[in-house]
Amino acid sequence: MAEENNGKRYNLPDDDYSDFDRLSSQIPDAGQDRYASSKDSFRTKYTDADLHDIIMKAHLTLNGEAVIPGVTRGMPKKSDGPDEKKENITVSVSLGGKNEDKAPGRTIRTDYSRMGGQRLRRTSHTENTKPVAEYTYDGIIKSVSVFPWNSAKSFYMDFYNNARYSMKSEGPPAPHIQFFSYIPQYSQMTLEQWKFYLYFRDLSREGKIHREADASYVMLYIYELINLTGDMPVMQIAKELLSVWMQYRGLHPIIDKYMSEWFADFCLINNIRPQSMPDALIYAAAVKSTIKEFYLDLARGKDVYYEIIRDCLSDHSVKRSKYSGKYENYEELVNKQALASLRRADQLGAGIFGTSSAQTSKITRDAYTGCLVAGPVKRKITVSYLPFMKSTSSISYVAGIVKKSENIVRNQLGIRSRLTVTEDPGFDMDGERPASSVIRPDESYLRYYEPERSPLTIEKAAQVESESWSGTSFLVSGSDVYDEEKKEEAPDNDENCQEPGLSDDEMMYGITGGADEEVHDGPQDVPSGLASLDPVTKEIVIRTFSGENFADVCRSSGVFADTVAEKINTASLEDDDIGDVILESSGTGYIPVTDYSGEVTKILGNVV
Amino acid sequence: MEIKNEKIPKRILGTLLSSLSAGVVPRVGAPYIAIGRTAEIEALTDDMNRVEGGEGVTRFIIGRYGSGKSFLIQLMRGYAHDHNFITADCDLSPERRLYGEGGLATYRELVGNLSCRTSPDGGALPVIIGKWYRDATEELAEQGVVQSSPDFPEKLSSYIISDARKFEDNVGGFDFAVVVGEYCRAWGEGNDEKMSACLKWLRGEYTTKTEARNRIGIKSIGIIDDRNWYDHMKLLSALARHVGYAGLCMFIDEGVNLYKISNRISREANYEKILSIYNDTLQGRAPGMMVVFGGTPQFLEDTRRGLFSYEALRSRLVDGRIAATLADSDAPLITLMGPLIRLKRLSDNEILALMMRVTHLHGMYHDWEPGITDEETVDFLEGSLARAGAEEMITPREVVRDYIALLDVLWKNPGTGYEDIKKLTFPDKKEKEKEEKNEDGKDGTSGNPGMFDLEI
Repeated sequence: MAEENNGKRYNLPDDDYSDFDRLSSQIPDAGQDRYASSKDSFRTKYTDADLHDIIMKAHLTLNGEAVIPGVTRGMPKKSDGPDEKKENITVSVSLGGKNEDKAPGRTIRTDYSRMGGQRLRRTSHTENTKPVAEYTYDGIIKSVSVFPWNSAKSFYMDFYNNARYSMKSEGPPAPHIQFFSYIPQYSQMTLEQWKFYLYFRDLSREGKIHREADASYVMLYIYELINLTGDMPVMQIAKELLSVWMQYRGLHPIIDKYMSEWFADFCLINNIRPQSMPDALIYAAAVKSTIKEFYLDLARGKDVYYEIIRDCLSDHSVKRSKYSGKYENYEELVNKQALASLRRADQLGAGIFGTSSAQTSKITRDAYTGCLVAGPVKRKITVSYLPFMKSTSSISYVAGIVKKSENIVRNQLGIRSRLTVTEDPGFDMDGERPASSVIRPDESYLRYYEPERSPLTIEKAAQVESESWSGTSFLVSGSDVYDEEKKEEAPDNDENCQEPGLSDDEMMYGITGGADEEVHDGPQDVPSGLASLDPVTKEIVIRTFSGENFADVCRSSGVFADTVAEKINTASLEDDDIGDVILESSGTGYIPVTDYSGEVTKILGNVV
Repeated sequence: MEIKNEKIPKRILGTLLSSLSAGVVPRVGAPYIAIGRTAEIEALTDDMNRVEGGEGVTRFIIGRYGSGKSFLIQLMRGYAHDHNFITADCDLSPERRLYGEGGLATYRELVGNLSCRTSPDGGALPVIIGKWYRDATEELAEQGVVQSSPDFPEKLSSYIISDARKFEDNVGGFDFAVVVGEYCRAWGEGNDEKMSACLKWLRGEYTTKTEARNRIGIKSIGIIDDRNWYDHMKLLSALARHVGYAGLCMFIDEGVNLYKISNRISREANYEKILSIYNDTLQGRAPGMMVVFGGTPQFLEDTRRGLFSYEALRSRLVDGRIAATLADSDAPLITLMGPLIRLKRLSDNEILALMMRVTHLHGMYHDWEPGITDEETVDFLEGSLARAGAEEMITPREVVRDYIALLDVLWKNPGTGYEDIKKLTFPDKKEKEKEEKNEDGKDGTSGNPGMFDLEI
């Protein structure tokens, strides 16, 4: 191989590409320490894993060439000069092996794509050939044209032939032997692994799972099925592909990523519409696939159709909402509301759902990208479809519906904050209330708080009013027994049984009624209430009610204001003529309740 | 049945009627309008008896808006005063919570509203400390040390310090004892500035330790903040019992404000505080302390945001099997042994009884015979209940407020009867049509020219 501009080219034999040690030995410093430097021409800073990854990608998916940039990774050495040149290595993998040759009339277009931060050179082919099959549909995908893979290389023919040869082989039970390969093939397996593979394949065909089966066995089986197109009925292949996908996607989730592409390619090439594909699988495949339109057609008429649109198109995620974790089921409620709104929009043909059938787009893609497929099976397809899944206006439309749905849920939850929605959904979303029944809280407990229903009668009310006096008496007088019946059973207590006297004084308000009314004059022999205060305190009361500051009076008398105030109020509360506090605390101290000035003067004036 | 003769102090009766006519729960005089609620009052007073005996209690009074939660709380507050309890009450709000930034604001409100029988309107903190001081001086007097003696300040100081050590076992007890002791010493010295500084500390009004230390003059004390305010409420409770009060009743109303906290973490932190209060009181770690929460059914029973959304509280508060069965049945059996008191709205007959009571009190206060019969009262109530949505929305508060307004009009306008006012406020449809018809001329033409009559 000739040298390239920025590095050296190394030939990597086709049959040894998986032998990393041999590959790496051809690259200076590869496989050595991460910071080791090469000679003068360039420096590589790659680990074994880095190189392995790059070489495998070059070999398997990028048509045989990889540029290993000479940029320094990791900490540069102090000896590195600022103008030291960094060169690239180009690794070339000869896909055709010894039989490689070029087809006449082939054009080569070179483009670049970024993968893993490394710029890799990629070549693809465009051919002017006639389609081998054409199909038309009445869904999002309008038509499919299938073209042969017009390649000069007949790669993977050994695998293709081996697959056809071994397709009817049966495998008795065999012990599990671990097997790993990036691109698993028959030739890489030992005899024990081959026996287990046959056993595993039989189990899969019977719809059974071997839980120890490695992902490489599963991928090999998938490659085999795809390569058997033309040797087995396509419906049977589709059925087995779907079966093995569903069986092992739980154990090996990576399968979803590849199968979502390959299965869509297989169905489009062979004009198959798998009706039995579960909704969950459709959703998972659509999310990961680059040809979501195929799965949308499968989901048409189901909830999963709107779920795919909602989750694949909207650039607003409810998971990032600040209320997402604060309210239980918040995400669920918004998603349900959005789902209902999208369904409604579809029914009304609003927004993206009103896209005209005439506005179709076309895409040409290499089928089975990344899959081990021999030339006779590999295809190129051109798909014509409604473009609403690809446009930015679709993204903003669906995001608008999701945001508005979130606003509706916020409104129902009493959250005042709203998201700004500039996109018009094309119909009245505020009228949508499917989520309201979900979020309405269960208020059945309110039955415990309903008032008792009974007809309104004066007699009943009068009885209630009359009976409540015992409660009033209990609460006001401080009796320890609530009602009369209990009071009769309670032991006698002079203090509690003492009835307050009813004075004729106009400032007293006697609540009277009933036939058993009794009026007591109250004890007169022993002074009580204000009259029982000591002379110093009485003087303080009189001076306070005559306008002096209470605190000053206390200070001049040498007593603690708070203590004296409590003593005075205790006495006034017990006083038959007052029954209330006569000093109120305010922000600046105690002030007299002037309502009782007359009583205070009368009582203390008489006593003094 | 024997009807009691009760006297109502003038100030209390006036305040009571003013509060009712303004539609707010009266802070004084509530017992005079206590209708029904016999079982609930009994349950709460039994609780107070237990608290007086040294136990701790937590209760939740749950009811719809206007069902009488706040009224019941005020009722029990007055009862607690009469039974030698210290009370502290506050309404929760967006600024006043139990945990986080609002915790200290709640504490300040509670301490500001600290009241006792002789200071029913709050500001009882100096009274409680003053009682301690009085006890100390009496104790010293028994030992022969009177206030006029030269060694009185020193003896008082050592007495206070030794007595205050009883609180040092509690969380924050050392600081509390030091500040209370310093307050008493400052009083003995006549140092008003230091007394104010100590009170300010006890009210949780210092925001920095430095400021508190500089003002009080003690270098080692901390301050009351959002995290430790509840411990200081327990200390106040202990102090109240130490100086001879029966205990401390804490009433925290408007619990729905915790339910309204939108942040789940913050809301649950507040619920955790309720849980710790509940555990403290019922496990004997807060002797002599009663905590009563008031709130709406949503605050309690909403499984998404209410107390029942917090599993630890739900499992403690939810009705047991028997209680739940009784609550769902029509049987008139009730149990209030659990921490929950579910208040139903007053029945129509109870509201009518309340209106009868209000009529009586109004006549008593204004010294007149209200010119309204029982039948007219019933008619007024039926008119209120017949309004659209009244079935769900009307509360005793609104009915009584309107009714007092009616009584005021009747009192201010002698000679005016209920029927006259009814025609203006509840015009009967037929009568209204009849009146309109009478305004027209006999020949059917309108007495006043209408719009179309002006057309030529």
